[in-house]
Amino acid sequence: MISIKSVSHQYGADQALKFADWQVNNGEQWLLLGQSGSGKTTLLHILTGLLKPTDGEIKINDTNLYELSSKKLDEFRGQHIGIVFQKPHLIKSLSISENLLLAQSFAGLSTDKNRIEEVLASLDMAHKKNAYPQELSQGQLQRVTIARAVINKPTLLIADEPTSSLDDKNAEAVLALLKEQSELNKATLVVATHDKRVKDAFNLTYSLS
Amino acid sequence: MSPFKISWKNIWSKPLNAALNILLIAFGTAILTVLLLASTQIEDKLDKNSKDIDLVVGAKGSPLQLILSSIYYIDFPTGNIPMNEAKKLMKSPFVKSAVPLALGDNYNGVRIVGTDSNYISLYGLKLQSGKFWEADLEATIGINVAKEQNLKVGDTFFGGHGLTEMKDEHKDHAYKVVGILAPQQNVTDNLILTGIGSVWKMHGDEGESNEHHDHDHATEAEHTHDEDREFTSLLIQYRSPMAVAMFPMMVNQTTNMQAASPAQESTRLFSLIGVGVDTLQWFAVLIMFIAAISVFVNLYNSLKERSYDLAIMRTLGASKGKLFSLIILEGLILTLIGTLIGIALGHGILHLIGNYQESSQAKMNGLLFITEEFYLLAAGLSIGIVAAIIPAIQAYQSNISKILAKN
Repeated sequence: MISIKSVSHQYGADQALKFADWQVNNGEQWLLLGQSGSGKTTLLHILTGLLKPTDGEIKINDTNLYELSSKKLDEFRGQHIGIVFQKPHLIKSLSISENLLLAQSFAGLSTDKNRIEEVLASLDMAHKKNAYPQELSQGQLQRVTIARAVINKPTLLIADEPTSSLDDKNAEAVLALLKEQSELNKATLVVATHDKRVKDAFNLTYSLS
Repeated sequence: MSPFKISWKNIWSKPLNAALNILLIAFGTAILTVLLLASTQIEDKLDKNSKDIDLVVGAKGSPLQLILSSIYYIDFPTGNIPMNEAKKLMKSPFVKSAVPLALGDNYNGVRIVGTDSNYISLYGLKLQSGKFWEADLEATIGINVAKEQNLKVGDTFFGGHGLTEMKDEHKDHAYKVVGILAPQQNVTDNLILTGIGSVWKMHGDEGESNEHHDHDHATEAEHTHDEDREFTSLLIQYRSPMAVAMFPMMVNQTTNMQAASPAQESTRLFSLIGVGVDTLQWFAVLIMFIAAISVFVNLYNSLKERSYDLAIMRTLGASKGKLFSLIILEGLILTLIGTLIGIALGHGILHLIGNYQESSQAKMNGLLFITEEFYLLAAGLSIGIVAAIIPAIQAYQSNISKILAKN
């Protein structure tokens, strides 16, 4: 369960963003809708513990995120939140399976090769586990970043503009993958986008004005 | 996945950069290693060889040359001194013991030293086999001479005139090896020792040894001979500290000979070499400094490219401290490899120099390790930390929310 209460964030002296309270129950799939500049990324960063809001509180599974120490917060994020960014970005010097190992060990969990095989297989990427990021296509990279986001079975799976640079067909495929993976890993899904094509795929929507 | 592996793989994702950094550090460390080893070994050898000798008396000329030729057996002697004059000095109350040397011959480049039995106690020589020289033309040889020239007790050989080449051999008289010295770890390992009479004999002083034991009617003859007999130099031990001030002055002012102190001349020699060593040292330090800057620039630049990577690592759960240690680790790995290669390279170079060295007296050995090398290692590692600290702090402080929002 995720809840945000009376959260606002101030950039500089005169630019303030206020966010309406939001309650997300376990296993739900949400769309976070808003135009560029509406504070979408800010809210996502606040939600994932990357940016401490000027005011308000965020709770994930009854843990108040910003009451944790910096180190604990990083660990909490690694274990409970999976993030898929707009551009698929992997560590270039590491192979696909090493990138996933990295996600396990940075989160403070023991490394589990079987889990890596399992996740890669579910995304149809098992055959690429020893390849390096530069050998993969954009679409394949996107799959691996989804794999990385769900590798630790997070409570919350967040995707930031996952479809904005994709054509219709691929956008649909990525959305399907995200929904499928969040169901498979019993994670709550929040997809942030301004992409109108995505709207119909979700019935729960949080809109930023 | 260990931090070491992450840093390691990142370093080698840019092999050329990594190789350049390692090369610079290795080069600087290698020069420093060679200097360190060479100066330690030379100093050590100088000390060992002159340890009980207070003064050398020889013909007028360069005092340094006198020391080099009579103690280290490197340079040519300054000339000869008349035996009569020398004998007077040997009887001086300032002198505890005086050992005469007669140089001028060699066997395949190994110096033949004519001396008396006092030489044995002066250097504390011990035998490995056979006995010390007694009669003329008997020779006791150093352990290295035995090995390198393949000589054993009972063998005979001809000496050659001069100090380095076997140009004109003294074919009339053959030396006989009567003993081999145990390893002494000093210059005597590389010498052929014989009686002073043998050297005289080689140079046309016939008849002396035939009548040597016949004291009755040799006395007269010896006296006439003594007029033209010569030594090359005298190694002197003082009886009292007072002699330090008096004796050299006396020799230099009242006789036709000169006195040179090994301690003083070694110091002078070292200050002469020292200028070159200092220059090289600064050169090496400069290279290390450039290496440090190169590592810094490398890490700093790659940090810009990697800021997104590092931000991603934070989203995966890595703490700020973890990123800090990853960057420091990269600096350390680069400099550690560089320093280790540099130290190995330094030893290799020194060994190679040792193999090509002609003078066996000051031969360098690349296989000796000294504790000071740990300082080199420590210096290398601190360079790594210093070069990495600013990039590491930047990684620690970076605002991931901003970095992620920008892309």
